[in-house]
Amino acid sequence: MTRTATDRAAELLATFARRSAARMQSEFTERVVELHDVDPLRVMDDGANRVLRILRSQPISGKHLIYCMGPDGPWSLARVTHGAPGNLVILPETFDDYEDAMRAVFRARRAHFLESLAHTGTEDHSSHRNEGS
Amino acid sequence: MNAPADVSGSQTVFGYTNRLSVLPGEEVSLHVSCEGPVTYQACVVQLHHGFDGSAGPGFLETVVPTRVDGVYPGYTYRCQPGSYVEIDDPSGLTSNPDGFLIRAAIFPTLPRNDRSGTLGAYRISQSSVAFQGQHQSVLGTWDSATKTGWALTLEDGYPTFMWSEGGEPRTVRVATGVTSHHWYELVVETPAGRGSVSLTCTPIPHGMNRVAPAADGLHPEEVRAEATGAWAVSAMPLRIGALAALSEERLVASAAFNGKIGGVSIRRQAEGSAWIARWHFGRSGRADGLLLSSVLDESPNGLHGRCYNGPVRGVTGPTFQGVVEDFRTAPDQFDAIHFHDDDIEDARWPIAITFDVPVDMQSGVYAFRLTADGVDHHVPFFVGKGSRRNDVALLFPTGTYLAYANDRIAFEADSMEMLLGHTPIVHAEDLVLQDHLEFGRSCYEIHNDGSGVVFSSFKRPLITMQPRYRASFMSEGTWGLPADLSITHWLETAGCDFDAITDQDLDREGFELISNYRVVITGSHPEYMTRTELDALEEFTARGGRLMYLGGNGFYATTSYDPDSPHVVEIRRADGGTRPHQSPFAERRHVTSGESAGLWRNKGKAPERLVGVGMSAQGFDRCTYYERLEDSFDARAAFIFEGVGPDERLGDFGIIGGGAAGSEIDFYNPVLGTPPGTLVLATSGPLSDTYLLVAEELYEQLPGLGGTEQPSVRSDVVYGALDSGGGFFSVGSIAWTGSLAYNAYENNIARVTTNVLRRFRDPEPLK
Repeated sequence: MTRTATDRAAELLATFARRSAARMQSEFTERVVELHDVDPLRVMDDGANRVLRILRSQPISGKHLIYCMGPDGPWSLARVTHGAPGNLVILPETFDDYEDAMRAVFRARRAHFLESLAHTGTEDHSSHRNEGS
Repeated sequence: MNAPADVSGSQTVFGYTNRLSVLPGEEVSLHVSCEGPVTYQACVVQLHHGFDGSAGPGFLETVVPTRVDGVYPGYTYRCQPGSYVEIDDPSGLTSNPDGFLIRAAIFPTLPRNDRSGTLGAYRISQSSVAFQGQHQSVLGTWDSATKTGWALTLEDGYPTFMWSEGGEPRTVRVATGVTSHHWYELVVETPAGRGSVSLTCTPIPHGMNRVAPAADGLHPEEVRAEATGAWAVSAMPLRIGALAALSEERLVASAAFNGKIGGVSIRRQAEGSAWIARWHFGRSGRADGLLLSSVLDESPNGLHGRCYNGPVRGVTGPTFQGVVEDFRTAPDQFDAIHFHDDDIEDARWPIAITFDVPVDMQSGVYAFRLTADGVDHHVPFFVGKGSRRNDVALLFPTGTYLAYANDRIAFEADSMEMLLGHTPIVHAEDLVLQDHLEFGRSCYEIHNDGSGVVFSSFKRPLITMQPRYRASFMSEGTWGLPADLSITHWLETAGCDFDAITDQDLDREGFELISNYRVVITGSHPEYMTRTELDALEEFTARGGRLMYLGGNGFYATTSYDPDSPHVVEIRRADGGTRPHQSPFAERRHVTSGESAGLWRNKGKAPERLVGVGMSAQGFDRCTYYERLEDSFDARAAFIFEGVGPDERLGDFGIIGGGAAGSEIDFYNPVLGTPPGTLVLATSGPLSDTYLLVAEELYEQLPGLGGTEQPSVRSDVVYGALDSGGGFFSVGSIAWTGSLAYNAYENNIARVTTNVLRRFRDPEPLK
C-alpha cells in the first residue's frame, strides 16, 4: 500500500502524542485534579497548566462543550457530533453552576485517561479523538 | 436531573434589514423567512439592556407602537450560499455552444472531500458543513432540471464538459482528477454542427502552485467525444463559479466552485474565431481601480457580468509573476476570482415589511422583534440623530459585529478551548446557527476550502447580533452588541441622552458626522476601523472633542466597506500580528478601498496615538480588578476619582469574568505614540498565563509570554488632555462594560465612568 503525506503526518503526530502521553503519566497527578477542582478558571501552576493544555487541545470531533439552558443556567455537558441536531449531543445531567460543569468535563477526561492507562499501560493519542479530552 | 429539550429547531423565523442605521424620517426594510409557521408576529422594540442573567438589570426592551405591529403571513425562502459571476447576455450569444472555443484557468482548492490538517490560528480540523462539492461548475448555462445547456465543471474533481443533445446529457471527462492548489488551463472545443468535442487539461507551471513543477507529477491530458450538433439550449444565464437553479421563483447558486478561476474567454470558431467574450477579472472599470462587483468583458460584445455572494477579487491569476502586490498596478496578473461554496453576501429574500422611522423617534438601538412558535428573533438596527442633536454620541462598533457575525469556531476548532483556558459554553442560538450554516461565516473562520473569510455582510440573519446572545468564549459574559447595550443602559440610568452612530455612518460621513458632539463614546470592542474613521476621531479630539474609549483591542485592524454595497465589510489579514488566518502573498490588498491589510499600528496609525493605549494581550478565563497608580492622585485627574477611595480596588466584580480588566486588553505603550502628557491612572491586577502577549509585540519566540511573567500583559486606564481642550479616557479592557451595572450601578467602575462623562460634557477645556 502506498504511503501518502497524510500517513506520514499522522505518524509524526502519533510520535509526538506518544511522548506527550508518557509525560502525562507522570504529570497528571492528583495535585492537578485538586487545583482544577479549586478553581477551573484559574489554575496558576505551570505543570498543571501543561496537562490542561494537552487535554484541551484535542480534536474537535466528539469534544465536550458546555450547553447553557437559560439565563442563569442550568448547564449540561455536550459533545460536538456533526450530523446531530445542532451538531451537538446534549447529555442529560445538569449543573447549577457552569464551573461545576467544567469540573465534570475534567473528571470525564480524567476517567478516560485512567481507563486508557489501564487498558494499554500507556496513553494513546488516537484514543482521545472521540473522547475529545 | 432533567433531559434538556432539543432546542436547535426551536427558532423558526429569521430576518435581516437592508440597512443597519437609519435616520428619523427615513425608511428601513425587513426581509423575513419563516420556516414552518404560517404566520409570525412583528413589532418594533427599543433595546435598553441585553444581558438577561440575574446578575444585572435583565433583558430590557420596550415595544414602540408603530404600524409594524401585527401578524404577517410566513413564507419560507432559501438562503443559498455560493459565489459566482452572472453574465448579462440579453442576446443569448453564450447560450448555444455550437463551434465554441472555451478557455478557463482554474486553481481548485477543494476538488474532492479531502481537506486535511488543522487550519488557521485556531487549528480548525473539521467543517460543520458537509462536503457538497461533487459537482463544481467553472462556467456554463447548464440547467439540471431540464438537462439543457452546457457547462465546464469538475465532477468529483475531474475536469468535465457537459452538453445537451435533444435533452439528453452528454459528457466528456479527462482521466485524471485535478490536484488541489495548482493552476490548470482547461480548453474546450465544440464542433460547428456534427463533430468532435475536445477537452484538454494542461497544468500551468506557476509560482503559487503548492508543489514545484519538478515534483508535481502533473501532465497535460486531452479527451474527445463525438457530438451530433443538436445542441439543446437552456434558459439559464451564463454563470462563472456556479450554475443557476430555480428556487421560489428566484435563481440561486448551485454546483458552486471552490477555488480561483481566471483567463476566461469564449470564441466562435465558425466565425473566424471571433470573440464572444473575453472577461478580465483584474480589470476595473472605475477610475480608482477598485475591483467591486462589476466584471468587464473586453470583447466587442460587452457581455459584462456582476459578482454575487461576495467572491474574492484582487487575487493572483494564472499569469502572476510573483513580484507585484497591488492588483491595481498589474491588472493582467490579477485576472482571477476566488469563489467559495459557502460565500453569502445577500440572502436576497423579498421585503416583508417596510418601516418609515417617525421623525420624532428617539435615537438609540431598536429591533424588529419577530415571534413565531413563541420564540423571538430580533433584527437590530440603529436610529441616528433626530432634529435635536444630543451632545453625546455612542459609536456602535458595527464593523466588529460584522467581523464576528455568525461565528461558529467552537464547533470546528481544536484549539479553541486551549485558547480560552476553559470549555466553551454554547447556547440555543449556537445550535440554531449550526442548523443554519447557510447563514454564512464570520471573518474569524476559514471557508470550506481552508482559505480565510475576508468578507462579511448584514444582509443575512445575524444570530450573534441577538441582544441576549452570549459568545461561547466569554464564560457567560457579554460580547458585541449585548456588551454595548450595557453602555446604553448605563447612559439611560445616568440620564444622558445620546445619539447612536455606527461604524458605517462614520466611515461614510467622516469627521462631519461627529464634529458637533462634545463627547463620543466607543463600544466595548471597536476593533475594526477604517482609515476614514480613524482620521475622523483624530480630528475630533484635535478640535476639542472628548473620546471615551470604553473597550479593548480598539482601532486595531484595517477595515473597508464596499462603496457600492456598504452592507459588505472587507477585512483581509496580513502576515504579521494577531490574526485568525492569513491572506496569501499579493492577496492582502483590500479591493473595496485599496488599503493594505493588517494592523493599523503597522501602518503609522497605532491606537496609542489616538487613545493612549494599544492591544497587549487576550485571555478568557478570569478577569481582574484595577489598582490605582500615582497619576490617579494628580490634581488633573481628581474629577475622575471623586467618590473613590485611595486604596479601593476598581472593578473587582462584573459579569465578564468577574472583573473589569480582562478579555482583550490594552496597555500604555508610549513607543507607539501615546501623547506625552497622558496620565496612567490604574493598571490591572494579576492575570493568568492564558493571557499571552500579542503576536505583534513579539519579533522572535521568547519564553515567558503569559500574564504571570510578561510585564506588558496588562490593561491600563489612561487619561489624556490635549492642547485643543479635548482629550481621551481609555479603559483598555473589553470587560469594563460588564462591571458598570454591578450592584445597581453603585460601584466604583460606574462612578469613575460617570465622573468622566460628566466632566467631558462640560465645555470647559480639559487640562
